[in-house]
Amino acid sequence: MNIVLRAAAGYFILLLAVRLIGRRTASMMAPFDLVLLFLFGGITIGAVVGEDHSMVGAISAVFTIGLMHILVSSAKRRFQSVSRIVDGTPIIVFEHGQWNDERMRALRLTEQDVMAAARQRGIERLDQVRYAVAERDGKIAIIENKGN
Amino acid sequence: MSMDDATRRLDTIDEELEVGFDQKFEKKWRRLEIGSQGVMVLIVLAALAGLFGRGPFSHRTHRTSDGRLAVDFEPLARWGTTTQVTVHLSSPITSSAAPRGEGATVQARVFVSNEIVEPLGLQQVIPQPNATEAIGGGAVYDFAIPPGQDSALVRFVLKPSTVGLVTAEVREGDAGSESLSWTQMVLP
Repeated sequence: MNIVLRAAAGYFILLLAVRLIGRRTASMMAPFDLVLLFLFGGITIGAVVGEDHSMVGAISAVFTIGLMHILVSSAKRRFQSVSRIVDGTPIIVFEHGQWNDERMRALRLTEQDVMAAARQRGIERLDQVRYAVAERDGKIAIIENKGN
Repeated sequence: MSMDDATRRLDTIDEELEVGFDQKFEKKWRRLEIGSQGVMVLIVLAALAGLFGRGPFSHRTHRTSDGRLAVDFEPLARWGTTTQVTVHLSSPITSSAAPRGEGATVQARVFVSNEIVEPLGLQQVIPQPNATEAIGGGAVYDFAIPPGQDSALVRFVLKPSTVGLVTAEVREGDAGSESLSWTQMVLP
């Protein structure tokens, strides 16, 4: 199979895998999450380049993946449905003083993860938090209670 | 409507937080995620079992009706990855050039169709044949068999260079003897 087709297939397989394993891993919160993402890339390289160690092969693969990324980014901007599929939507995991356990479980988030994000904003107690949102990039946004 | 406009109007929480949270979509995505994880598990189990090659259930053997010739192969091979096809010869037919005799080394002849070279990508033949002759539709390999030995095993190491179904053929000796064919699906 042509290296361009293999690179394009590799891009989509990685996109799907990273999306399906969840946004928390994709945000590289823990050192091992970072290792996992590099591992994914390393495994895919072999299938994309095969035994082609030429500069032409490398340029073809890199340009293909670069163009695929531009294409997907443009499609995300143009079509909301593509944006949702590729990145998801922000998910509220804490509101009105209540945790949403179902969403937390789906995101494999713990209360400690949210409180860690709160502490990074100088928030000391949970009752100072109005909303906690798991953003599309996997980071947790904290919105403080007004008046605190 | 641009996406920025759509996001501004989407799913405001308590009419104060313009977050764009789409609960309906996220529920659907969660179901898809769980389904996909199930598919991933099935793929891993199938790979472990060798259903994509290289495992306990990855080999098939075809035999001629008289049992003199058998070919062992992987029905599912992988593009650019070596796979082996093993030909078993029982009571090999000796070539006319070297008649079977007391103490003499005999020659077994194996014909393999062209598909073993292209697209199956022949890399190596084990043992090394004494002679190779290209004939119509394939090649004939001559192998020396030590005296007294009534069976032989020939292994073809292949590295497929195409994706899809490939059917190849093997037979013992010259044209006219019973041939065996096997089909391999080369996965990308």
